[in-house]
Amino acid sequence: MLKTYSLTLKRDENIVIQNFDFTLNNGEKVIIVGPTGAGKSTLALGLAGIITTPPGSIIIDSKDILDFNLKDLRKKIGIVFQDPETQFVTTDVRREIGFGLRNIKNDVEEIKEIIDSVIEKFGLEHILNRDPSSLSAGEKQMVSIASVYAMQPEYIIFDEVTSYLDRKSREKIYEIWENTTSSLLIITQNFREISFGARIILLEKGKINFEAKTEDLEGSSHFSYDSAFYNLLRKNKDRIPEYDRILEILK
Amino acid sequence: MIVLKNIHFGYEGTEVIKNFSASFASDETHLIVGPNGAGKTTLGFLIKGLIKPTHGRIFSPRRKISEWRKKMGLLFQFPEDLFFNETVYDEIAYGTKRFGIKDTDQKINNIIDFLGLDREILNLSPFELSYGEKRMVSFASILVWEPHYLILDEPFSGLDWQFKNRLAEVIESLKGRVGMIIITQELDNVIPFVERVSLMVDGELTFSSPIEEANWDRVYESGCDIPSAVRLAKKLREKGIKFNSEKRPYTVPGLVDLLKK
Repeated sequence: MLKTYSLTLKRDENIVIQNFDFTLNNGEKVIIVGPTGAGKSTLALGLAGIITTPPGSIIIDSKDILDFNLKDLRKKIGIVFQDPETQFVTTDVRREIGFGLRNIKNDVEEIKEIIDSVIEKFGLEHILNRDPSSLSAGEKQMVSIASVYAMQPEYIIFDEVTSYLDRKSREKIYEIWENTTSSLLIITQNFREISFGARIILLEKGKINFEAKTEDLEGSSHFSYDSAFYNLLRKNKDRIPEYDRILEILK
Repeated sequence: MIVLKNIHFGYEGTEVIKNFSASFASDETHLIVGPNGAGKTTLGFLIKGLIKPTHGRIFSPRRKISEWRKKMGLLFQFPEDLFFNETVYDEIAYGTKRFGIKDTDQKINNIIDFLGLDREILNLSPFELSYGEKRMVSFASILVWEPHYLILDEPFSGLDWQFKNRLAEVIESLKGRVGMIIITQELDNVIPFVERVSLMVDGELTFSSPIEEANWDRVYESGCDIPSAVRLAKKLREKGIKFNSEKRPYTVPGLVDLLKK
């Protein structure tokens, strides 16, 4: 379980996250939405132990995040950044995917097996020898997700990782989100992705504005990804002959 | 008009753009879609002149292409990587000096208002901003020097829905006055107002057509998303809801109008 206790995070002396109390249970998937500038990315960096946090404010499996050494922390919690380029450290895709893995595992055969299976899962065969920095933005995003996924951390934070992806690549990521046993914190601006979480948190000005079970939001026009269509249908209800049937189909 | 004739481009032994021919009208809003790695960004770089084609020609029939490019704005995918000034004001003002734009203060204030940003942002360091704010500041720093043509490469990524809506409104309001190429995976933001759509796959142009005649099946098969209205219309047809099948609605209001009949 990952738990925060009145977590407050500052950047350049400005308070960005204030008194954030949050629990991510084992195997749970939580969505964070919020306007630009709400502090979502800063929160992600804090939870992943990349920026310094006050002692006792983040506890992962009963241990203060500050007490983990880097190797154990990366086994425990992984983060995929919004800007994939910031994550690259090697000069070809295959090495990139294995980079983090080599830091936490020693068995060469096992490492090779994991890399091969990740390459297949993410469909990266055609770009294996390319320099990550020469890839398109969408390809970069896929490689950065794959290299974190390869490490199989128990907790993974995804910070708006699908914004440059085409449909097929996005569907691959959705499949992973659905089937993984890791606990996920998914930060997104894409309303379609809300359904991958059991819980949703709206972050505004560094604070939790509201929190709800995703299933309680179903049918709410606010979060339906076809909400514009539903709203227009509703407005035109009396003028659309097959209104009830259309609604039935869309449900 | 900008014309691309038999353009090829490659690096690291890979051909990224293959025999690409197309023309881009100076007042048209042109959507370019394509799967990841199709060469869309590279195409933008070629048109702007940041890289040169290995074969083929890019020209303008009536004006020197160099003249075109001077007033051509390119919003990069990761524009924030290019910030180098201490304040947002300086970042936006930088281009005005280059283009000899007067009344800089007023222009900058107008653009900040136009984009729906808070004027206080001008005093901040661009590096402190959130991803979405950075994106909007980058756009402001292009709009301030009044470009005649814009290439917008994934302009919506990293923006929240309010900024997405605002940016879509801004882009729509430029339509007609400024020719545009919009590269995006988020079609619903721009689909109501684009005039032409081209699909790129593997460095090649698969089709280019007026938006009303777009072959969305091919777009879907290429691995890209299709507009919500097209997806919904398909779903309704499959389930036996009948409506004028000659018309192919690609916007949500268009689909509702058809359903009413």
